[in-house]
Amino acid sequence: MRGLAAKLRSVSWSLISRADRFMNRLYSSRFNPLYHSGALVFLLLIVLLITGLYLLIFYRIGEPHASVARITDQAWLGRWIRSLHRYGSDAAVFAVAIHAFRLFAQGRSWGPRTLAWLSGLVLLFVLLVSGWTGYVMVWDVQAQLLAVEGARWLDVLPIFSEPLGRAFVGEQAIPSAFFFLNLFLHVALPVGMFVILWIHVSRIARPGLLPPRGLLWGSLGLLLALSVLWPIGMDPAADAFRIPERAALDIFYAFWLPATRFMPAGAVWVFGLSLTAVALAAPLWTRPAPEGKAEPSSVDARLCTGCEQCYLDCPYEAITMKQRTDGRDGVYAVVDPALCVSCGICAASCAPMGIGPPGMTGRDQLERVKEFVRLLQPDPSEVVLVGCARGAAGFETLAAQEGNGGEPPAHTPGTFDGSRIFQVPCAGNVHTSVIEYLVRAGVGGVLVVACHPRDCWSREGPRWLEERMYHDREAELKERVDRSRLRVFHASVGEDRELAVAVADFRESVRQLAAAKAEAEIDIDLECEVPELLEAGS
Amino acid sequence: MSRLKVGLGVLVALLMTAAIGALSQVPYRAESGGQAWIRLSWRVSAPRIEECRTFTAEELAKLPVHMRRDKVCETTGIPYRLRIVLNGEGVEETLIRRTGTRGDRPIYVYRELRVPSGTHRLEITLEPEVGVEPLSGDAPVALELAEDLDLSDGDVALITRSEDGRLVVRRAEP
Ligand code: HEM
Ligand code: SF4
Ligand code: SF4
Repeated sequence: MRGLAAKLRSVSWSLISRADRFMNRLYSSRFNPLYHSGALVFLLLIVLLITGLYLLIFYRIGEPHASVARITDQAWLGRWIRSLHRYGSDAAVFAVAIHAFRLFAQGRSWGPRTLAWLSGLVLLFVLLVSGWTGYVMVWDVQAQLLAVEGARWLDVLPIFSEPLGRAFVGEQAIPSAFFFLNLFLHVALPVGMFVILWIHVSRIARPGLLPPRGLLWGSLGLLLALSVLWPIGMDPAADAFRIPERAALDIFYAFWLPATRFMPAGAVWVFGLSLTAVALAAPLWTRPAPEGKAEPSSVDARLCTGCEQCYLDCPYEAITMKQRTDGRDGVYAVVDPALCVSCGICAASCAPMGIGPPGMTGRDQLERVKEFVRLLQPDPSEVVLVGCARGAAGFETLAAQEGNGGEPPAHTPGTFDGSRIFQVPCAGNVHTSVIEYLVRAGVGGVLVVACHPRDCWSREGPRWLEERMYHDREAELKERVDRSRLRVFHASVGEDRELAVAVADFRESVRQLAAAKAEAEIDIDLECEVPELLEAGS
Repeated sequence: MSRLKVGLGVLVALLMTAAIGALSQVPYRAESGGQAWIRLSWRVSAPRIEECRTFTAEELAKLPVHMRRDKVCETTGIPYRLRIVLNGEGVEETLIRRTGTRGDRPIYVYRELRVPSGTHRLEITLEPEVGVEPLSGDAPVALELAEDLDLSDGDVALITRSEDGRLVVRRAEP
């Protein structure tokens, strides 16, 4: 089971990373819509809320089809607002699918993320049901197909005294209570989504709820243009006395309809419930085997000065500050292991190196880097990469490319284009003292290879790395470290070509530095004895 | 290169947007042409009856001594027999009983017959099962319908009960 799950995951990851790379090239990593799929859904939900309010003013449960037709006839506002409402909900389903697929592919679906995973599934379900009720509101042929199909499913359950399907055969007018209930659900469910969304991101610090401005306005502009240029029309009204032969089907919400209509209702339930169970159980079947699972972070209270930096930096709000009980004044950090995803970011927040998952603390990193340098024998004209395991310079990535099943190559330090790689689980885990150590040890330059900021599996690794290196965020890289020997480059899986260019460019710059240094070290007194040089210098 | 990239970026964005537009309204043929449907949908009351049967020797042996009786009786609704004959051929003959865990729900008929468009002779009877006497109250109804239905392509004819309780055919208003 685990093997199958891992295989499925790695195929999905390869798909997603290819798509990411393509989008990064087109739109730059900052505006890559795939990185912002969750935030795009939130944006679209707001658009749906606003456009929905407008539609609600004109909708009549007593004459559903006619009132929607009247809205559609309002050439200036109603028509495109209705279309925007429709296309926005379609885009929301598309974006949710990408968001969920991406998190699955990255293995971010178990452990402390279980709550987000499960609430995400509830969100998806509510979104699809809201769409269903939205289509029924129009009461056209598609609505009829959806309502009859829904009734057929419910009728196999021993709940109702009479078949619900009878409501739609024209024996009597459809009770207005039906349209009222449908409208109520269509308003209440999406409002409920905001509550579920709050739970969804409740374990996340600073959730990125909105995409960057360029992407926000770009996607809204495109949907608006679509609504104006290709407005949604009206299909004929539902008619119980005509066979619903043809309909314009919304694939995003009714993709299942062509298949389920030919399945017995019981089979639809069995299939639907099985699929749901598999998705709900993903936190179980996607979690790694115990031996491959990283331990949660822990604090060495003796070293903790209570500076609160780890508490501020943790992307999963897994750290709280508690009053000390060991006789010293002040507070100290405490990690809740149930919330910790073992990203190691806190380890780099802590100047005294008192926190981090086992093997990832600042002290552990220093020990590792000493051994790394001993094996490396630093060359002042060569660069060293400090690479995130999941990024372009990760062993996991390199090994996967070599068909090594994601296992780090045993004992041989990895290399990229001839440069040695010091690997970390996340770029946000690199303690700045490691970088300083490398520079002082005499390597020509340190290139930290992080994932694109919005692609970070630990959410905020590249962001805090940048802040610590260049903006004096606590546990900062000391001023004495020569910045010309440092660079940060963002390259996610598959962006080898881009990384190779960056490495070559940095290597060139490091070599120039080495040459300049060599020149500066030339014995000035000796040179000064050459009169032509003196003249040229004057 | 950069101009090409911008152009490609715009093109991909437009294509994705157009794909959303197209997938939002895919022409779907839900049913093939040339057919018509006949729907049966109505409800009848089913007066209460008592159905008794004697225990088998085996069942009696299983019962505790103080619970042993000759027969067991259950109150339920009278069962109805539905017969549908289409163009002279029997399509269905079913005994319909009240549903619900206590047999306390009304009896309804809800069927759909799919036929090629054209004229069809439809005969339906719904009668209380003979030999069962209601305990008291309403008398069971007996319904019948025999009609030639002229159904065009895509028509749905509904067989239901009129206000006075007879079976009637309802069609789309012209
Ligand atoms: C209406 C639908 C949804 C919306 C608006 C939404 C939105 C979001 C947002 C804004 C985040 C925070 C991203 C960040 O700042 O890092 C997030 C995280 C997450 N979402 Fe969703 N989401 C939705 C549906 C789903 C679904 C269907 C799933 C999966 C089944 C899912 C799984 C997750 C997980 C696991 C995280 C946590 C990621 C992490 O901690 O690393 N979401 N979602
Ligand atoms: S960063 Fe280190 S010193 Fe500061 S509160 Fe956290 S564990 Fe304590
Ligand atoms: S390892 Fe990551 S999730 Fe765990 S406490 Fe540290 S920063 Fe928070």
